[in-house]
Amino acid sequence: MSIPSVSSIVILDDEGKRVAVKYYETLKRARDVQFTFERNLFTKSSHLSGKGEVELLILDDYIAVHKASHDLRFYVAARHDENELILVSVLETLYEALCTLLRGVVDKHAALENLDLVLLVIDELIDGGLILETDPTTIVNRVSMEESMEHSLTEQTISQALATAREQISRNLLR
Amino acid sequence: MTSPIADFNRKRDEDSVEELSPFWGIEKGIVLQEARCFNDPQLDARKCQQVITKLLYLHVQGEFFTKTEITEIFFSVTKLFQSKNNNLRRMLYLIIKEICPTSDEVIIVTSSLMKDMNSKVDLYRANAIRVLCCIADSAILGQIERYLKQAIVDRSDAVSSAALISATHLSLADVDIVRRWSSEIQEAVNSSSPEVQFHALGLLYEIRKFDRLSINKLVAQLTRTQLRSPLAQCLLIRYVSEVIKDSAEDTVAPLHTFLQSCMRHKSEIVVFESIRAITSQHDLEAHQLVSVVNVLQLLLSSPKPSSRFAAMRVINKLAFLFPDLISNCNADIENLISDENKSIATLAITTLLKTGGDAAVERLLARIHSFMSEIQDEFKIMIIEAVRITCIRCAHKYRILLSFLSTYLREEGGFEYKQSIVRSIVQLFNAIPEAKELSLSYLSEFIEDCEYTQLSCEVLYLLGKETPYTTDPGKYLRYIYNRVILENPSIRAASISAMASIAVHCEMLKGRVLVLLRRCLFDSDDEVRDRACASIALLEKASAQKAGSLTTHTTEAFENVLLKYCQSNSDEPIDLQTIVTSSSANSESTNSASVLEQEHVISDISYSNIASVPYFATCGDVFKSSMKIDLTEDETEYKISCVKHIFDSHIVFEFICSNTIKEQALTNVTVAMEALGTSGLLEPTVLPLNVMPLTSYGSTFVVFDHEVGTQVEERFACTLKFVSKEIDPITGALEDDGYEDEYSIEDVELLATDFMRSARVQEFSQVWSESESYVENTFSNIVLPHDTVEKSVSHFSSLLGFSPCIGKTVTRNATLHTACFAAELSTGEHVLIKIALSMESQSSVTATVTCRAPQAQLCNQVLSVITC
Repeated sequence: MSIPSVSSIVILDDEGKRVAVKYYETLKRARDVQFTFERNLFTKSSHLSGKGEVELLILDDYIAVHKASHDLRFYVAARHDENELILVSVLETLYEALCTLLRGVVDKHAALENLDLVLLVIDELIDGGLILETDPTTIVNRVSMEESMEHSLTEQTISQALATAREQISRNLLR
Repeated sequence: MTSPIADFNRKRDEDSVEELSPFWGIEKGIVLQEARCFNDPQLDARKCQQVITKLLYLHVQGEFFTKTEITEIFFSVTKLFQSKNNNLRRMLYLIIKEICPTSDEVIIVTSSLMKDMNSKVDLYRANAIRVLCCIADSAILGQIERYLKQAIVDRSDAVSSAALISATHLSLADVDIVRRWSSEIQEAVNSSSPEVQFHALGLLYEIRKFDRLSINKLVAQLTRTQLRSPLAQCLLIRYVSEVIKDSAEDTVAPLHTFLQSCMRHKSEIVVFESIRAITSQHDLEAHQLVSVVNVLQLLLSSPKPSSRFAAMRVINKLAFLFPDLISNCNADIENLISDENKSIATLAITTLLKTGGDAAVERLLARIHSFMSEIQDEFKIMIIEAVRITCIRCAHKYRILLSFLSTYLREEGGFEYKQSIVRSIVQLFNAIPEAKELSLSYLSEFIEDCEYTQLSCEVLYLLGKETPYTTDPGKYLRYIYNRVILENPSIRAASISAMASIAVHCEMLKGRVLVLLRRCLFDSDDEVRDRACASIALLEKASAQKAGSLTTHTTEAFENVLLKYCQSNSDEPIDLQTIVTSSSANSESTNSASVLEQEHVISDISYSNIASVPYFATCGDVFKSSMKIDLTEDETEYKISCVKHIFDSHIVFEFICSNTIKEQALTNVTVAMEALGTSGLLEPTVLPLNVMPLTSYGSTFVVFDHEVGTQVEERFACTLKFVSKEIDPITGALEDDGYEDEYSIEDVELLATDFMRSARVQEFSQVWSESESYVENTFSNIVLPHDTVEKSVSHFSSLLGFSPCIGKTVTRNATLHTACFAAELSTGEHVLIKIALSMESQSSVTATVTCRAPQAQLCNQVLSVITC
């Protein structure tokens, strides 16, 4: 038994094409293995209702959790003996952080337009397969390099935090 | 119906959406060009950030960067440390980690990163630590160790987490350096931040995991406190279950209580983790699981599909071990059959099939019928599997379950799905003999409209194999023959083999099958015709000879020829003609009495005539035939050589003779063998050769009886005895009177190795390690007069009479080599020989021979044969 770990985070569009992916451990290596894996994820999840609920998939040696949002499909995969619900919480954190950063519209267009933010969220969420942070607000702050709030976070309401984050991002975008 | 204009508009919309993608038409070359902006003296932070994003986009899409390109990107990216822009800095950290520079390049960024590690900005520190640890080598680690240690107890959670996570990665490579930070890590476990606590606990365990005592202490201490982070609690649960596994039963009671208490935790993650921990214990007992099942039952009705799925997975696993316990929540599980997530529904059904009693099976099958049409093949396969297990469990329900399976055989489905059904049916009738007839009739109906050639052939083969033993094999002939009329060549060919197989085993059907087969002789496909021809020939021969099956005979002859060929090291291709003639000669010889004169088929491969002698027809199969040994010099009047054949209860010496003198005929040729040792062999039976053929070869035999499974060593003095007759040079006729004469030939030895043949061994090392109990003996430093290792290997091969299973080929000019031989005795026991060869000087090879045999005597006998 070891520390809970994630073997990959995959974000695909509604045709199964890559938007953003990050592989850890063994899956990291062969590119065609990755593509096969993504195709399997996509076909296996295509029959799910995708009403925004997190669903579970089993693929050979891996277990994956899945969530659809507009034309995007999110997956978090791990070895098959991992605790499924931990993966669910990772996926939810990922989604919530993106929701904040993409201002509530999590679709392919927004994700590509802000790909830097998407990749940074993944980077702040998982480090080398280990779960780095599970609080979406903290992740949003770290992605936008907004550290003054790190300590005062508990006193702020979430909406305030979101407002600051948005302001920060728009400032950066307009610069 | 949509108007063309609306269509057009929608199309344009789609196009514009496509164009709006920031990466539309992106090309690596152009992006690399753009990356030059990193070198501008006046950095445009926004632009640089965009270019980095584009590079990362290409990376994510799987674009390949060459080594030079990576180096180039890396060097220009490092320039960006000049910028004070936070967001650009964040992207910079990311791209350094992604492109992962080589160790000689890392040095460029270490100083910048170390500066950031001491920055006042928390997130600079946190990120710099992560990047450094990701790319650092041991030299750099030494430099930053001090900072890392301090960072673990940093007041900022981000820095602390980053340091702990990085240290966890480092501990996998070098746990010693991380161990030195033990006290800091211990302090971080008590942090107020849940994340830091989680990371610290994970790391603490990693550095202590080989120290049982300290882990036990840690676990005991932590189970009494309340951890803030659910993830940390999960970790603790995992460690607790590890400790339980390793500890004695009586000491772990408090830990069991702890696991039970975790099931009441407010976080679902922790609840589930504790369920997993409890259910994965080795010696589970039903009473420990009552509360677990209660919690699982609650999870089953959770609104979240993921929780339902997770719970269902555990229940499905438990259903194998504790069907009774799980059957308590059957009602809840049944509700899940209609779950929207078909994975959950499938798990529910398979679980119910496992737990449900006899009565429930029928009701369940009815529900599955409505369900099967909605799901994908992979789930159907799972259900078929569960049905199969249920059927074997409730054997008397086989009728219902078989008809269920056959229903789905008829419906649409992919190859793997159909194959799983066919295989299930096969397993069923193997397990339940009374289901056989029903199964076979379902299968023969199935091939009527099976769309998969491979599967049809599989079923046809099965029908050919199984139906002869049913009450009415004739019934299946119709199904099979229909395939010949309607199907593609592969299936037609398979059908013919199936019919032939039935006819061979059912005498009464032979006539009918022959009629059917003759109709196939004009088939358009070569293979079909060939099989039909071969089958007809086989059946007709079989009826003439009343042999069980001729196919085996011819294939065996062919196999023998191939095996001999493999052992002979001959470069000549096999002449297929000789095989056919010799095998047909074999079959003819069984009918005629005076075969020896007719035997003209001589080749290097089939030099032995033993197969053509009726006397040996009742002796069973030859266990081993030795290599041919010449008993005369090259230039003598008569050429005599000997082949030793070992049968189960006979030892046969075959003397192959050839006459070289035209004017003289040798008749009534025998060989007198006088045993020189004390092996106690009884008086042999001698089969004389009528006439020793001129320039061709004939054989005379000496047959000893011996005890089954024993090895005899003996030396024989041999004398050729014959009646010599003159040949009239003009008429070529034999003179009536001859005189008896003898001719002394070389001695023949019977060796222990003659009773061994090459064994087919999959994995020599495995067989070797399994033979520990055998007697082992070694002869070392045997000097062989060969100038290459290769010659030594073939020397040993010829002594043993077969090739090594390992080390057959020797690399050119090798000075060291190991060859391994595996032999089997007629009793099935193995003799294993390892020969280590080394080239000591130009003209000699030294060998060390190790032999393992079931008995000491045999072991020594074998060694003395090879080392003589």
